[in-house]
Amino acid sequence: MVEPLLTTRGLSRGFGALKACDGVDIDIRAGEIHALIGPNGAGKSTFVKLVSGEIAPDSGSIHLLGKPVGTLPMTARAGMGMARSFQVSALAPSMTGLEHVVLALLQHRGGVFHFFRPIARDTGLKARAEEILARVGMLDRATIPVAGLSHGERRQLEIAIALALEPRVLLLDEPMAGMGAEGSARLAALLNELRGDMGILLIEHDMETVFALADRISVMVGGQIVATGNAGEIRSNATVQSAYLGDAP
Amino acid sequence: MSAALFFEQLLNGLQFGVMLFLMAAGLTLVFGVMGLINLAHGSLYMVGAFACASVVAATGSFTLGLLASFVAAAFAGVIVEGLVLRRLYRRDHLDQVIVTFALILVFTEGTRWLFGSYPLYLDIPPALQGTVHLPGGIDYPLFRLMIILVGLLVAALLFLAVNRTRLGIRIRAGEADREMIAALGVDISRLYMIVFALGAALAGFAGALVGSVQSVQVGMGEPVLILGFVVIVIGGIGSIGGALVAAILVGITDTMGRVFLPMVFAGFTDPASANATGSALASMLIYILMALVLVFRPSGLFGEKA
Amino acid sequence: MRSDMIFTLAAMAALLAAGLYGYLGDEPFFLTLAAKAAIFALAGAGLNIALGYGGLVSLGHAAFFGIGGYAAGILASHARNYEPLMSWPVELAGTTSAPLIWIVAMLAAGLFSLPMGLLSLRTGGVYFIMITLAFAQMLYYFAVSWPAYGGEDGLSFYVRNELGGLSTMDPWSWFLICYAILAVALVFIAVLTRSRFGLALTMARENPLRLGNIGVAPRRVLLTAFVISAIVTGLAGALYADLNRFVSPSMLSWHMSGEIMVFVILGGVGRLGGPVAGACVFILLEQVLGGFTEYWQFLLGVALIVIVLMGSGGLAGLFERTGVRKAAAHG
Ligand SMILES: Nc1ncnc2c1ncn2[C@@H]1O[C@H](COP(=O)(O)OP(=O)(O)O)[C@@H](O)[C@H]1O
Ligand SMILES: [Mg+2]
Repeated sequence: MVEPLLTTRGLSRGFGALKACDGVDIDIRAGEIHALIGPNGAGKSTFVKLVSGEIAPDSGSIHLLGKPVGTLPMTARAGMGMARSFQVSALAPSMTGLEHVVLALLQHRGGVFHFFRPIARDTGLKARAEEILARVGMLDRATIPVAGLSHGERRQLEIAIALALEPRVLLLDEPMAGMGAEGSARLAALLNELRGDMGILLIEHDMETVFALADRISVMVGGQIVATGNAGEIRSNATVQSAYLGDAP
Repeated sequence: MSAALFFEQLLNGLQFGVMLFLMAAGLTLVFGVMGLINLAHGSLYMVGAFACASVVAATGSFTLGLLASFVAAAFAGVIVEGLVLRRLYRRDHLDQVIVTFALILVFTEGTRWLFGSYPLYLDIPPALQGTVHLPGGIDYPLFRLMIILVGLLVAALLFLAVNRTRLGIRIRAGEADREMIAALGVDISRLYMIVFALGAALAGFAGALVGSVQSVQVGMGEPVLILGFVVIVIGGIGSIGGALVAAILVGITDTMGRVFLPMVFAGFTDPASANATGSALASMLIYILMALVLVFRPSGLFGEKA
Repeated sequence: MRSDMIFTLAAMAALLAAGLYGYLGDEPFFLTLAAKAAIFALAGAGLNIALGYGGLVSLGHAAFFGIGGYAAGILASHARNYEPLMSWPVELAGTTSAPLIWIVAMLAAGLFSLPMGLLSLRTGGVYFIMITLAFAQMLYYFAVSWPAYGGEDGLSFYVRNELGGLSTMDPWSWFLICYAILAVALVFIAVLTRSRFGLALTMARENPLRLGNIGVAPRRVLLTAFVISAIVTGLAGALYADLNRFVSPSMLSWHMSGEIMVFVILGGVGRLGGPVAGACVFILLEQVLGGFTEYWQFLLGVALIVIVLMGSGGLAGLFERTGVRKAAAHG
């Protein structure tokens, strides 16, 4: 069996007395969509923050493409091919969507430390960015500063930025929340297309979407993974039934 | 170098440090509770000094002068807070910096207008003139000794006030969580005004004490303000205990450096260039200290980890 | 972007008009004031890179201004006294060649800004303000207590430094030199803000977490901006020393840092032409109000408080709003 793209073992992080993540073991394999579900406050976002390097773990290990990255800064992990969307959009209000995507594209195209050449002149870059924006359905709103975009549009831009990083591992923290039915359907279709190219961790509350998209599902409750399996296994898992699905919204 | 000289300079450093603490305490309280960076804190120091000088000149009573420094600075603080600064609590640092810089201009030029540019000198009351014999055969000026004791007393009172009183509990709650104290039903704008007045009064008091050993003049506050910042960076923002330790560290380092570094260099080179090198280096010593702290403990000796 | 460009051109045109007025009306004092405005504008434009585009509230830019000034003063005084700058390990002579002096000034300011930026960016936020202020003050005290170059009294060097065959002592030529350098710097900044780096700098200011998330360390971007900013302000310092043929520690004082910041605020933070407009207005106020009362900075202080509390975005902001209103009235 091929080695997973991303592996965590015993990953833990507390806030004061609260154990937000408590010994989490998760694998993300190449080409799979791995859904992470669980009630609010289960620790899903904390897990994503730990893996991406926004916060440091108390204990446990993270391996990306077989290398330990638990102590590397966020930038190094991004450079190795990890991309992440934020649950709460993290964007620059004065910059346009196009500029966001162009900036993200630079990671694999010589970096940002170029001081003279006007970025607007780089037509190849612009074309590529527009292609990505079109994929998430944002092309017609590409040149509006983020401050003028709707909540749903910002969510779409989050995805576009993540795609521009051309990741091996993509972590999506509730990407569909606030997107509307049409946006969610488009994103689901897009994720289906992307499935072969990268490993995707998808945090999502809507069970229908999860069961339709995910190759595997992990269920998190109180900071711990209580079950992992395919859609059928999760549906029939008794622990999951009582702990989560039984009182899902 | 004699032991007596060393000990005397140590006391001078302690005196300087205690005064720096009175400045830094107000700065760090105001920043901790209101999130305001107040460049005009040095102006309140100056206001205290001028108030003391004026009242002593008019009444001849040094005690009244000291009292006046306290009251005048607190009063100036309340007015400035009410008219200008309370509009800044929710603004970004840049707005705070520029408005409080503008306040310095207003205070400085206003004071120059009223009092002129020449320094004023205060007469220390006869009862406090002269020296005391300390163990070890040191004669130390009584007035400076009094400053150290009064400064330490005020520091102790401040600790008690912040750690033991209801006001102090509210102040600390305000540092921890601004929304929470509103939920507790505390009148925030009154709390802010009290904290600001307290910080101002401490600065004004320090200005009066230092002004009576040195001189009272326009612009005397800003060098001390910057030293106050150095103290806060070294001690860690929001920590009053850190401010006390850092203030004394800075006071002693600076004083000892100025006296002893030229002597050290005199061991290597001719007296003139030893003096030049030594005093130039001494003038930078505390900033070098600050740089070292930043390298090894970026959030200060007593600051919480960022 | 468009209105920023128009505003910049308008401010530069006004400054040129002021210079022309001094030249045609044969008023050398006026020309010197215009040159001073150009130099202050350059210092402010330097600060604006860090402050306006990078969001770094530096209260230490007097350090770079003063370093530039002392670089000019020290090199020139060595050349005029025929004393080598240093004789070991290599013999280095002073110089009166202006371009060489400018380069040294920029290098010196940039070199000093590197450790200063590294240390003050370690924590950020309000610490940044205090630390930049403190390091500039350190340099100030060093200049005061180091007797070799005049100490507290400063250093005079009688004649301006040389640039090709131009007569730098002629006020009109000198103004044109300063004006041209300012123009070049503004073009450079305009290019910078439109480059890859400019885009990253905007992100570092508005959302550093996102910048890290896409693989760029915000601190590296900010440090680079800080150093570039210091270099530009250092160049302004060299010109200022030449303007006065004199440097003193006052160029390094906290008051100078505050004034450079005032140029930027008055004109408009993060607007290309902001510092130009701000410096011109500052000098205008100094002349007009200063003619009234020697305490004119009292009034400046009051004006600044009102401007910031009203949140107007300086002259550039005013310009934009009237422009927008006009556009709305037309369309
Ligand atoms: N920075 C923080 N400080 C304190 N508690 C936190 C912090 N971040 C998250 N938590 C707590 O950790 C728990 C898990 O949060 P989170 O990971 O956001 O859950 P989820 O994304 O599954 O809804 C929650 O109880 C939350 O309140
Ligand atoms: Mg979450």
